[in-house]
Amino acid sequence: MKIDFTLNGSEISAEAPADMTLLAFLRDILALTGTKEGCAVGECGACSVILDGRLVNSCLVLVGQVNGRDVITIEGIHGPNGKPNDLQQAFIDYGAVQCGYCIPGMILAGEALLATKPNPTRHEIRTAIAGNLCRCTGYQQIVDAIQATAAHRFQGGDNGRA
Amino acid sequence: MAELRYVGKPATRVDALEKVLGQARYIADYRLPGMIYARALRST
Repeated sequence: MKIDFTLNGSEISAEAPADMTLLAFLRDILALTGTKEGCAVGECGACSVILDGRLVNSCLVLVGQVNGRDVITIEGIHGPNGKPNDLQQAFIDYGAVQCGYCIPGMILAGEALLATKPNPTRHEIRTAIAGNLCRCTGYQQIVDAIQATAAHRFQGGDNGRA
Repeated sequence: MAELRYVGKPATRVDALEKVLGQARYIADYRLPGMIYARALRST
């Protein structure tokens, strides 16, 4: 079937089998491999993307379902000139990155949270990443990085977006 | 004792930048020309 949607701010138009997942479409058709496949059954959050502002597991979304909608992947999150934005820099600075496989999903979970809740409590941050597993188990540093970014943005800091 | 250069000091992970940008390539992210696929067929 023909699929038209907005991906990271650009219009996408492509042919795809109706039963293909959004995850497979992103990785195998568009070659955008920043979105990771972990469990492929909606347990781990490695494939998280933002769909119309909401964090979803792209392994549980069929590509036909995103027709006419807005999708943001990790490739759409960065600062000017391809540099990291403030949240991504905080992940680096706080030592939140280990093997890194969960990180694209974690960054998107953080962005989805901060877009709707600019000044979250630590508990709210933990809830926001509850669907994203980090098997290196570095959760504290991930929460620290999101919390520091929230404080920085809440105080009017530039989020480093292009 | 001379001051230690690395011990006790924070260090930035060398591949953290490409990982936060989603650009780090893991094995499953590679597509090579003529690549073949295999999977185990187990007895029942």
